[in-house]
Amino acid sequence: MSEEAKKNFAGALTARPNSDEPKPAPVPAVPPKKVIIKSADMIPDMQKEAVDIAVAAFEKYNVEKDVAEQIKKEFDKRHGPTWHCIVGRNFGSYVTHETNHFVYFYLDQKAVLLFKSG
Amino acid sequence: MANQDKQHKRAFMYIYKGGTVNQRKKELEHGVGQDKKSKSRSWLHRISRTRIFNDGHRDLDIGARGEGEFVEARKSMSCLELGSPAGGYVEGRKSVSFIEAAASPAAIGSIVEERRKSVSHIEKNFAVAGMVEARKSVSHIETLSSVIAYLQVKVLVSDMPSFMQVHAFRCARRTYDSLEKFSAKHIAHNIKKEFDKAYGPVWHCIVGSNFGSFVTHSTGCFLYFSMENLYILLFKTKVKKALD
Repeated sequence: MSEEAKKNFAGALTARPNSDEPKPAPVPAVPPKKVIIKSADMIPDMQKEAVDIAVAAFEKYNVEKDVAEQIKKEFDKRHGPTWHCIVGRNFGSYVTHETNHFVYFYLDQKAVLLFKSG
Repeated sequence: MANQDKQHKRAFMYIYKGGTVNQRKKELEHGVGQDKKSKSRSWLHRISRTRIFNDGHRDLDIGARGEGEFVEARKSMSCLELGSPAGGYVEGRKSVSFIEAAASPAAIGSIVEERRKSVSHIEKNFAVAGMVEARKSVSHIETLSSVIAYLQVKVLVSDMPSFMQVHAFRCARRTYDSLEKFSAKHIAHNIKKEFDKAYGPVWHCIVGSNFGSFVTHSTGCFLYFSMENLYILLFKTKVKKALD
């Protein structure tokens, strides 16, 4: 599974919910990944935190479930249980989440869905 | 895309992402279910044990008040009670054993036994309307293996009573076959709504051909299965408000 960063991804859509897209700080020797917040019901600081954790997780793990695990556990630790995380290239979902605790963003070709419920 | 539900503190979100199917990714997805279930259950088991004690206390209050919201809460709590005394793993083993038994013509006794257990479960946990619907599902338990074959589904990971599994399979197949244009979001929507209505909130559903996940779910309320080239994840989480 390729982890190469791609600045120009065909089919990438413009983010409508938020025109201001938070981007992670450039990491030495690793080109910055393209981040697009597709949908969010979350305070900006928490959004940026989610993106940063996701970027770190993708660098550390190759398997999607490990990335999802890393993100969920980090948020359970920082913001209290119970969080759920889905990572992948092709999926649809329908979930119920707590107010102000939902974010869905693209990290290059991967989509990350993170929300709190329960 | 957010919609306001009757519960003002919660909202529903639609998410869909299209992409190409990658054969190698499918292997990862298989791993997803097993690892995820094992770890999340381990965590939840401890929480469940604690909550059951509290739930037991709340149950008395709930009975006295007789309000709709608390009736809902009782459903959820009962689900935990069923799973925890024996432990989530026992519940899981039951499901697996049943499937194996159903595949073997000689194991009729096991099927009957499982059926009785499920009936008991229904009587304890569902209101009249729910019971009717649940009973219909129960009537299919004897032919779980034939249902699986007929609907062309494959159970990857399950921590869920048989009748609920059958319900999910039928719902997924019905929705998939009725769609003129494929939509994973639509399938996820239908399944979640169906389960929220039949078994109480809050359910979550993910449908796709390429995804990994890590979630925490209620004991006895988790299902990960495949149909056609899709993988479907369905699980339930506690409604925090109802337990306060």
